[in-house]
Amino acid sequence: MAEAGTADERVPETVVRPGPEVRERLQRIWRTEPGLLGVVATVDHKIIGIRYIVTAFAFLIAGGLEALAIRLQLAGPDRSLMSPQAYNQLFTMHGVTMMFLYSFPVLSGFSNYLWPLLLGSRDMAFPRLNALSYWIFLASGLFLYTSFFIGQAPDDGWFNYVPYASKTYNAGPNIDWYLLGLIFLGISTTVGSINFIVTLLRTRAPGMSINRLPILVWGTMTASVANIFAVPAVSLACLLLWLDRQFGTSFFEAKDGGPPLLWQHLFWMFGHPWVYALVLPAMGIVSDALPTFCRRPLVGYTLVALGTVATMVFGFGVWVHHMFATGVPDLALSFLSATSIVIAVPSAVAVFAWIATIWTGRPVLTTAFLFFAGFVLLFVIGGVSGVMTGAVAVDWQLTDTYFVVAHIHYVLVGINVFPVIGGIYYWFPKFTGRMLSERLGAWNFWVMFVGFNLGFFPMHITGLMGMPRRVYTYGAEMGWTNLNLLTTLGSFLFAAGVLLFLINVVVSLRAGEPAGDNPWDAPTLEWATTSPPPPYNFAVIPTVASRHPLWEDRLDAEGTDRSQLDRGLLLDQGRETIATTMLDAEPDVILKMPGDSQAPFWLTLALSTLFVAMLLHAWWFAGAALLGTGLAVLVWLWPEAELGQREASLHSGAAQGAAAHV
Amino acid sequence: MKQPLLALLHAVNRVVRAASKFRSASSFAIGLVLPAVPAPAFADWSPLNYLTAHGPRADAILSLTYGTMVISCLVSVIIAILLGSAILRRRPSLDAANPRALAVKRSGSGLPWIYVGVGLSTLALFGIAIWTMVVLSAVATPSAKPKLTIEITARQWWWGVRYAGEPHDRIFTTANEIHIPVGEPVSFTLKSEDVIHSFWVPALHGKTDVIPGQTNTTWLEARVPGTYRGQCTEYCGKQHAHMGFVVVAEDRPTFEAWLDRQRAPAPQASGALAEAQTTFAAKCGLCHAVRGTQIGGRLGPDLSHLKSRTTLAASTLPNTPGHLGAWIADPQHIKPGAKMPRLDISGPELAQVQAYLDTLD
Amino acid sequence: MSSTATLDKTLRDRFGPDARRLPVGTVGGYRSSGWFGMLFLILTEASIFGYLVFGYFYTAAFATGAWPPQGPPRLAYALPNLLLALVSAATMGWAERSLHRGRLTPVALGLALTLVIGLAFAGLQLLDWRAQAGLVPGAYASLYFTITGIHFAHLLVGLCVLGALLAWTLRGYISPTRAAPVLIGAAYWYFVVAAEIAVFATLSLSPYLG
Repeated sequence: MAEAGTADERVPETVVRPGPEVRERLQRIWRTEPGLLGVVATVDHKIIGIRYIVTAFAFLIAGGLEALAIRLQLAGPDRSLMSPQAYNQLFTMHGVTMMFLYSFPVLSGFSNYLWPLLLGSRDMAFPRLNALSYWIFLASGLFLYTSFFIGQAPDDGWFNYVPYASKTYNAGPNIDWYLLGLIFLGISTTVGSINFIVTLLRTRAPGMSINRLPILVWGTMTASVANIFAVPAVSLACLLLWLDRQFGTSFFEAKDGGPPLLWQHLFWMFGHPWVYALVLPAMGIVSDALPTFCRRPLVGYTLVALGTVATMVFGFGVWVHHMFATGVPDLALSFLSATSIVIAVPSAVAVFAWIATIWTGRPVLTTAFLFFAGFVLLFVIGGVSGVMTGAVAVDWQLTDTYFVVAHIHYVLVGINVFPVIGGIYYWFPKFTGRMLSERLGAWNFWVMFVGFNLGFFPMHITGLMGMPRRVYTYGAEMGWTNLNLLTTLGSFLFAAGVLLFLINVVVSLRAGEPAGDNPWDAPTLEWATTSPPPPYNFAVIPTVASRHPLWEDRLDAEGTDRSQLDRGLLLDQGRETIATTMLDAEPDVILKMPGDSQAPFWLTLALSTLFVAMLLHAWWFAGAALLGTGLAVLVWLWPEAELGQREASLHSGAAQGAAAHV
Repeated sequence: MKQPLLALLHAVNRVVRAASKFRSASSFAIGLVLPAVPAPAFADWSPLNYLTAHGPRADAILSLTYGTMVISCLVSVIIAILLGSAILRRRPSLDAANPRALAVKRSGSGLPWIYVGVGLSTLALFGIAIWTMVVLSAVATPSAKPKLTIEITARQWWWGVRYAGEPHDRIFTTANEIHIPVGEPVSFTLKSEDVIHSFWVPALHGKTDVIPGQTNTTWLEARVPGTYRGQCTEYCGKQHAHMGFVVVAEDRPTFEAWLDRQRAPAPQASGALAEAQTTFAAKCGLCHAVRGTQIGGRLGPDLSHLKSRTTLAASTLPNTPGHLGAWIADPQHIKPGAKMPRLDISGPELAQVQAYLDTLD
Repeated sequence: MSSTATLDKTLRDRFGPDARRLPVGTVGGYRSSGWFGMLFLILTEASIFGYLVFGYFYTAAFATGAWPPQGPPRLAYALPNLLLALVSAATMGWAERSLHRGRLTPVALGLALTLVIGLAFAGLQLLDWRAQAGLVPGAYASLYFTITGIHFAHLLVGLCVLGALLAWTLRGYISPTRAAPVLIGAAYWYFVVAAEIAVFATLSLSPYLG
């Protein structure tokens, strides 16, 4: 029986000012199935984005509670609130949670939600892969946390140095949990990155050329390309160590010729680009949202975009600065130190761009603006302490002390958490149709800002006074007591600020002021549709003529064209969006997008079974899970005629026609 | 071709060394003055601080530390002021007729901020980079070839110390307390028996990791006699927090006297003391050694001259009879997870062991 | 002309009834989303091999004594395998070119041949492992078996891909317009071959180059 295929080509339909019947038809085509099936099978990037953000915040809270427990233990000398084993598991899980389960997923969530809207598209390039990256993130996070619930959490820090992580010194399954968990999570990060890159290359609105992309897109794109090359390093390192621990290989066994430093090299070849991946998209959030509250476009767009890429490219060359004390030869030390210091230059570009935008603009002091302004200051403090650690001779004194802890928290909380919370104040109206309370928001910001600085600034001093990292207690004679108490108090204040944020979210979800399409009078495309957006994002695929489509009537035009938001491509023959050429974004292909699919969910279950089986050494079970994984992938990738992925069957006219062209 | 190149390299080398001597001189001056202010405050109640330098390597690093710290604080303050001014400065009020007006008409204005700001930042950063290179070369080699080499073996969670290479060529081993002569460089070889540790004496120099499978080296020189606290600074397991050590710098005669005492074998035990020694051998001999006797356990620290040390259990406790007794009776209570088990030892046996240890000075 | 009129003209040029017809679905071969996705998948998987090679040479640099400890590995299986890999790239290329020319029978033949050669490669690899069983356990043996093992895993995936492509070609799913699955799968296969070249150069060639 001949199957209906998709026409090989057609002229895409256009529409001017679509009416309600058009919107209704698009709604029917794009909406997620209601009920449990919809929950499991949805590929709506907005739903996936919210899931990412909410799950990441759940992990943020978990990691924060771990930190508060640590601070209680360290509030005074020689305290015995917990055993050293418990402490070591806590600080490890705190690091793992924040570095892997919160910082990048939350940015993925923002990007997942916003990219198609910012780019004027209806979906990401690979909608099912999008769903898969979330499900795997959730599964790997739960996988890692199960270790905690049975008291077998990893206890060798978030970078898990050997030989302490080897079987000789850490016999339990705890480290295996870490290793398998990271490999599992790495799959999510990798497929998510591939999705972002291909989306950027293919599915943008007509006219959305490279130089019109929002900086968030530049930031996430840079991070995604970096992840493609960086994540394999840690996945490989984890695999090799896992083999050492299960099967007695000797990748990291010094007595059998395996250099322990190999782990550090592989880990930091991943780890350093990773920390830039954690902050560049967040810097992009600020670069896109801050100008709205300055009532002017960002100063130095091109420089900021190039600076983003430059930071990441250089970031690949400096990983050895995490190993300055390991006995690296002097020549390498000089080169690496110089590079690590000079890598601050592109960051300086961004800092001055933001200050210039505020100075030459007209600030509107909303809560979001406060978070972005606070972020600039915290960024600079974190950056200069980073320059200090980059000066290798100084690093020999301050590495592995609380000075570094101060630095990493200023850069991570300052450059990731603050923009994220500011970003939520900014985009919450778009996500939910309601405004967050500005009064609660002001309290939220100041409590967080004061608490954070009170907690973490003293750590610079504690570090200079020699307090090492990862100590579960310290003696009273060390002189660190008062500063540690101050840090503990500050941390609790900071946590109270985070709590205020959560309260604001919960309260505003129910009782927040209705937002409207564009409550901030912002310039970018996501504000051209309803709040929250319909499942199809745009009834008309916009045609873009500048970086600020919604401000064009108020800025001197960059060209004679104007962006068109109410006339253009319709593409309503099923789930469709437009693929455009890479550089200039001319319409190229009509893409047929997959709808709701259960395959990502089942594939995640199969993978979870595989990793659990490997953890438990149930090899036959693992083999079966592997087969199940392969099957799920095959079903997923089976070409479908309605998606235009194949000809109809052998006996249809189309295939015969093609075969005739011999 | 080679000759002029070599000459050029020599000239550059001389310039750098001269510059670093100037740096050392000025850092010496700064090192005297600046730390003098917080030094009394720090040194007394912060034994691990690295803002008081007592050796040439630490001196050079300290001036760079202060320099980058000052620059960092300056930059932070300047940015804070710029940021505050940018937010709070007065602007002409909004045109009431056009509330939707943007602040500017053209996207481009404001670029000079970036040019000036990044230009100044780049200058500062390059300056710091060059200064770092200078300090690196200043601390690279000691003023003279070290006459003494000490072999450090790090283990979970204590430090083995072995003196070799002295002209007298009589090797001995001790633990957790290192003595060095003042005013001359001492070389250290660093080995690990198990996991990665890090050897750090903040007052004298930055840290060097101790990595199994490779031997790292470092050198220390103390300018001033004193007792300097050291600490392991690479997470190494449960009791990483309690893996400290002590470096005592003393003038040559005192140092020689200490060496002689350390080399001397344990005194002969007789009578009640011999009985105490037997108890000690039975309870402790499996892991510990006392030179000059049959007691030769190698798993734990050498105890040949335990009484001469100022601290116990890798600088966890002061070396007093009370603390020693508590430690022997229940090490797991003080340092849970330490490799020294809680022994089945009775009160009288403990008294005997302590009595014997009291003779090991 | 008013801006609205200019716009209408632009819209007509771009999108009106005389405007270009755009292809629909997974077309454009090397411009399809799936092909780009595969490209980046290849880049990330190739990075794994890059890091493995780094690990190999890093470990070699820190080795005390000879490297490899028991002398250079025998090439009895490695060399034929390299040649098999190169031939399989040629057969795959033949299939691809035939597809572009619209001849579907050579496509199926080329895929089948590549699959058979791939199976032979797998068999030879197993024999090689058996021959290397005398390697003393240690860093070198770990690296040897793991590097070849990771390549073997990628090869197995490649065999599954070839199997699926063969099935889809025989079912008539593939045509010069709907060529993407074969082009994407071919790209993966070339990656497997390139990885084999890298593995061979590292494990089998570099010991002879000192």
